[in-house]
Amino acid sequence: MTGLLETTAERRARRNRRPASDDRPAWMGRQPHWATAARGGLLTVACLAVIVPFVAVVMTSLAPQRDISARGGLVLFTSDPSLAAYRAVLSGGVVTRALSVSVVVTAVGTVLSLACTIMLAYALSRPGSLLHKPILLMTLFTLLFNPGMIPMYLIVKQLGLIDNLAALILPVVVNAFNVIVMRSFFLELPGELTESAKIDGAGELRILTSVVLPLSKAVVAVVGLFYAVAYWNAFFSALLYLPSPEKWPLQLVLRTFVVNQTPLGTDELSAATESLPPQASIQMAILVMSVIPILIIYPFIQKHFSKGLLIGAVKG
Amino acid sequence: MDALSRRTLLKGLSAAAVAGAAGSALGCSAKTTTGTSGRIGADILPTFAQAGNAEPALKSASPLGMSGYFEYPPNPVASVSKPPLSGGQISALTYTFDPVAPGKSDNPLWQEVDKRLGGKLDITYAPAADYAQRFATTVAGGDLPDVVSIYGSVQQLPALLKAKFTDLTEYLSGDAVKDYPNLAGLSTDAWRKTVYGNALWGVPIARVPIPSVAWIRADLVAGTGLPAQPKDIGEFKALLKGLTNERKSRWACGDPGSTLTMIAASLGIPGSWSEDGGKFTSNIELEQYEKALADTRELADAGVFHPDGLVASNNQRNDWFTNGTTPIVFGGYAGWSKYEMWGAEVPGFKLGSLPMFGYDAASKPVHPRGSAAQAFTAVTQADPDRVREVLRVLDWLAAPFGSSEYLLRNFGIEGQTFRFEGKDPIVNSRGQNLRLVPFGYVAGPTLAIYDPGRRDVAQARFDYQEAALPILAPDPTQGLYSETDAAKGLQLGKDLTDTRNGILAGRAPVSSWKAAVTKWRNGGGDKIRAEFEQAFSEAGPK
Repeated sequence: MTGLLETTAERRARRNRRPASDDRPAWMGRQPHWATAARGGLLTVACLAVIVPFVAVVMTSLAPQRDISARGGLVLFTSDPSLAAYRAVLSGGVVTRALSVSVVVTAVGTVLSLACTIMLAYALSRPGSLLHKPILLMTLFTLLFNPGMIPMYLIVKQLGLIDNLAALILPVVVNAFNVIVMRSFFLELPGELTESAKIDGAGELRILTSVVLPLSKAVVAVVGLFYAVAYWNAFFSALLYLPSPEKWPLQLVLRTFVVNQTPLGTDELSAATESLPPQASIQMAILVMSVIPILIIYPFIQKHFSKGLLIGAVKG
Repeated sequence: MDALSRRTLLKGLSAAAVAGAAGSALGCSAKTTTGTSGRIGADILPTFAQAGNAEPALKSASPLGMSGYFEYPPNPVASVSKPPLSGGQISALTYTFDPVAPGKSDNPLWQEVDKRLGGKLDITYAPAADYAQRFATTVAGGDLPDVVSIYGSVQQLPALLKAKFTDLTEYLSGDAVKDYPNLAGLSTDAWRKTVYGNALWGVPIARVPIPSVAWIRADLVAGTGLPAQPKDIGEFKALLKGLTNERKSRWACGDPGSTLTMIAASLGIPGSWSEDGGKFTSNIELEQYEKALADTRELADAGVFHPDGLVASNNQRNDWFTNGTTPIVFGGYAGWSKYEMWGAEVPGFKLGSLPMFGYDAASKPVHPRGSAAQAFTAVTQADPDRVREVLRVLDWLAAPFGSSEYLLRNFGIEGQTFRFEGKDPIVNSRGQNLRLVPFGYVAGPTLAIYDPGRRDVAQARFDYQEAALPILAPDPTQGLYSETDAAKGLQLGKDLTDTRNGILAGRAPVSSWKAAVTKWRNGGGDKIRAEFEQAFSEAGPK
């Protein structure tokens, strides 16, 4: 790691002091050219493996039918790009409305989920809190057994949530896995910190907000990302609980473009057929559109994300 | 799931598919024009009476067939004289193959439909692929809308219909259907799909029962000296082998499974099941089927199929067809204008179709049969006046091609969503969105052949239909219900498809088919047979 911290001038000075033939460890020595080249080549291949599919997706979304037919699927370069696929998907206002639904559900849902998960995980991480064991067991139980589609539907219906956006949030507001992740993180915080806060007269809520949470930004970011992605991607609950298509989130609306038209092929001449650009372009345009929001958010929380995943890695 | 079983599920092409058992009772292909199944529901089916008064340019000889129009009939008039509702409301649950339509508040087309109905038509819908889940939860939840689409395989369907929906026999049977003239225009075969336990349970979404067509790139065959219209299996094989040129990355076809179906049909193998004196036999049990399998394997060994043919998606196969990689593709009859559209930018592209041929001079070929009804719309239990009101709305929605109702539902409002170019209504981009409301899956007329500005396409579609309808494969299971089929048919069909693909891929010998059939029989095939036989004998004349 030292190599990263020192400046070029320092490194040059160090090299001058110590001839290459000395007995320093191998990883500090100068690499032979072939190794550098091999490493560069390997990294290039790895980068291409990530970038080429993405380019193909973007290019196909812009390509006309002629190019798609000629390539028999994905297109890497089109000389005649057009935004027809995006225009087709965005026209009519249905997709834009769905986008706002998705944003609201994701934002409200993530905040609510984080609040509930933090409080539950904190309570479960405190030794001796009320009904600590049974609640923990019940939480774990939901990891093993899923209620199934129809019982869930009946509960949601009895709660009067059908055709209500809350039906996309409330049934999944707490995820047991995320609770476990967060609880283990809280358990690893040194007990001395909370004890000293207690001696200073802080109550549990104060300890949570002023001591525990500031130390837990990484795990909150990770769990928040998990929740946000889950809310963003959810379409099935909307399919079941929201009869009005005006309330459908983005993913379900986009699904009607992809799922409905794909297997359909030539089996049914649907009303949309004549008006839509090539199916492959539409699919790829949809892919691009559903990835963009995540791409926008990701850089801001990426540092927390990698930190959060590595936390505990060296603690045994 | 591969294309074959998918299609089986989607439209009941079990007749053609290897999976004789794969179709649901709803989806199983059906026999109409002549013969065996005439007795199912014979005494209750609605009397057919041509709906609408638009004179077609091409008139089908079969009541199942679509009429052809070269231009939209001038001066469309309403087929229903007075609005079916008087201020009331009708709710519907249905499926759709289209993207989401703008909601009613943003949709003047839908508002206009409401206005002409004289009330409110509220439709909730799910993508067709997800409809089963939506249907199951809605039924479990208990509060059903006024009309519900019965689409795809539904377990315990007869019991469900009895418990929740209206027996429509007294409203629609025989001449009673004349109160609803547009519904009377739906084919008898389509109605037969709504018969369970000798009663009518819904209004069918009628379709021409031609499932798939062997399309051919006429421009690529022309000039090769190959037989473009093979007369027997020898010429068919010669055509496939002659079109293949592996060095130029060209294979005759990308779909071995459908090729097998075509060869089986050339041998005259009836639909998924055949019936003789009350005894049922599945097509896969027949010796000829194995013969067709051996012929297809021979073609596979000769390398006429695209190497990825068995695993390709239909979209991929269509792309191969358009760019000339495979000059033959099996695709839906409804896709005629789609292929023309895709090929429009390919220089020289000329679409043709392979007519059905007989295996040899002695065999009588059949055309694979699809379902005469894609789904049907059941009416939730209600008092008789309400049922009549609901049926009047369905009748309005089923207004035929050429009527003013049809013009509104499919093209919208003149000036706002479409304008006439010559005599043809041309929809603008706003209209293309607004008209995506799935009215047509709640109730609709028999479709029409109408390709504005493409007289040649309309004529070709019509000619193919007229040649195919008289030789459709018979299917005696129409109007019969087998619970085992509804519950296990898909899985059983999938196992058979796997074995079939193994044989066509060269992994297993043709002789392994017999073992797969035995497994199918023991796994549920025999039970399905017994259930069909029992239903058949119960449905017979008393």
